[in-house]
Amino acid sequence: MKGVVFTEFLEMVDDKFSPEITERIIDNADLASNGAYTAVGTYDHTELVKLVINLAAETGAEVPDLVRTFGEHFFHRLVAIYPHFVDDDQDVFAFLESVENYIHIEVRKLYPDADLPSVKTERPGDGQLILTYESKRCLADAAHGLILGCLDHFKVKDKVSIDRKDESEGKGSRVRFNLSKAA
Amino acid sequence: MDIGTLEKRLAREKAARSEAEALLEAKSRELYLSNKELLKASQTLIGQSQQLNAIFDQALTVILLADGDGTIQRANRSAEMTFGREAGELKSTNLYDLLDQNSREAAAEMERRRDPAKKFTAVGNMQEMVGLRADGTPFPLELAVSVFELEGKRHGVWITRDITARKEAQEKQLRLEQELRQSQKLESLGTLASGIAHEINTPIQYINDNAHFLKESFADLMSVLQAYDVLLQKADAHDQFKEQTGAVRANAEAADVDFLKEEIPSSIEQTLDGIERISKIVTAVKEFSHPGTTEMTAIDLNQAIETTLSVTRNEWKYVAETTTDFDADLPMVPCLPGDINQVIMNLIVNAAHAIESKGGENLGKIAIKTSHADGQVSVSITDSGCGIPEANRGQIFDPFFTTKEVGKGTGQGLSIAFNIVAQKHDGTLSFTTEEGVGTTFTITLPAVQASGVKAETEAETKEAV
Repeated sequence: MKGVVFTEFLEMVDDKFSPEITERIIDNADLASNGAYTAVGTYDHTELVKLVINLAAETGAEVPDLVRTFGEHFFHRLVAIYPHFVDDDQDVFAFLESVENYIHIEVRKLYPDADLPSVKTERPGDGQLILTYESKRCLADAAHGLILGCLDHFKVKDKVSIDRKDESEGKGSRVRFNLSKAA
Repeated sequence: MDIGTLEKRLAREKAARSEAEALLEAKSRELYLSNKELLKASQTLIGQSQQLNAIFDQALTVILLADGDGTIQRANRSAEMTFGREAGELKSTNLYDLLDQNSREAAAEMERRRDPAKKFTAVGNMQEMVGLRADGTPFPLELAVSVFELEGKRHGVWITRDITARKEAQEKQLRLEQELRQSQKLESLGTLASGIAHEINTPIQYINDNAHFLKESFADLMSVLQAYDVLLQKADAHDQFKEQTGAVRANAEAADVDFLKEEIPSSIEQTLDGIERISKIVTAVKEFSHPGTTEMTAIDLNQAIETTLSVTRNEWKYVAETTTDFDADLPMVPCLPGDINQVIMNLIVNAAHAIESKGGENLGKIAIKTSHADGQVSVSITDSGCGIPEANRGQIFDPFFTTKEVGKGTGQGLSIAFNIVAQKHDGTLSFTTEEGVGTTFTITLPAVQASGVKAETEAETKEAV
């Protein structure tokens, strides 16, 4: 997993909780990297899982909620870091459709070794989009948070409902998000 | 944030920076190596591209690359030279505009035969077609068509060769083969005619001798018959041997002796006349078919013309009368007798054909005249035929040019005649003509007795007969 995910996660913990909590979750996680992350590096994704679990223990919040919150935060950060990937005049569904065939291709140009999830889309009808997340890392909650961050960025969070269905027996490795625009 | 936390963060940041620097160095090296490989690949590609361009441009074969609509995208140097158009002009041209109408359809048919399931199709073998140069001049070419798809778009490659030189060589070879066949045929006929003439000559000799013997013997018999008549008259006067004289008279009447006395001499004369004509023809055939010599021989042109007139009699006797106006003082002419005989024969036969072609109820005229002046001997052959149309006058000496119907002429006669007179004898062959009135062909030959020229003596001529 790319280092930017870790650096942004720790930034979020600093911002939303406290630097002390950040230090503690690192100290208690027994990480191979010792929590020293650089955005351009690549690290084992289980380190993020350990950090999230420790954060949940520190804050009493649920792990899925924390991961989703991080996803939402991460989307805004990605827009700030890579603004050229996002056209604000674009339709939100059109943007989500471009993730797999445009954004992921651009990411691979920067990081050829990036192990990216599969994000397939289809439009079953007017105002509807089905987005299917699939990854062995089982980070469907992060994907959910990213979708929420996206809706927020395009200012349609209140106008689009999300119906989430896990197609991997609750493992979160394959999850279908049915997005519907309010009539 | 307390000091301890700050120290931890500083330590992590340092570690992260070191890692980032190491990554940066690794990426820099990767980039350098990639650039190096890229440069090498680029140089290889440039080299290959230059090689392909050189092959493309220097190929003796025309190579044309076109888009799906047939508009030329690229043309090599051979294409420019073959079609007589600059590369820039070719680029805006459609492939099919380089062909004549029939070939366009044939080429389109070739393209239609491509297999749409395949990304590359070479359509059949090379086919002969007709190309058009920039000024519209047609020329023969061979064309092979390939169709291929590149980045989802259809392209066509035409590979073609100008086969003008090959065609000309083939035609020349064909002409030479025809000439050889004709020459072999004539040689065989000459040999055959010579043999027949020789065989006929012997019986003609004794038929002639016997006819003369009969003529002389009949003259003697006439004397005897006249004596018998006197005897009969005497017997009647003395009224003696009535029975015998009656029987003689009855037999004489039965045999129609009076008629025989009158007709036998003229029959013998006609026979001798016929024998003389046969003898002349045989002599002419022998002279004409005498194996050609490569040596210049001085001949009597008047005699040669007489001979040729005899040989060709069958060609002209139904369409024309011939007259000759021979120069009695015509000097001997050094020439290749067989070749000159052929020239005169060709001109006489052509004259007869021209008269026949004109048509009409009356016989036409062929007048042959010989003369000499200023060391030159001239032979003119004038016919009252159809004349030569203006449009054909510049071509009549061209090989294979003919206006005669199939089977009447190969178009080689005048060409061969011109070649013999001009090339082999340093003479001239010219003509004057008026359409519907007739044509005169005039041969002029140098009469100068060149050294080494063998004079054909009368004795040799007789021997040849």
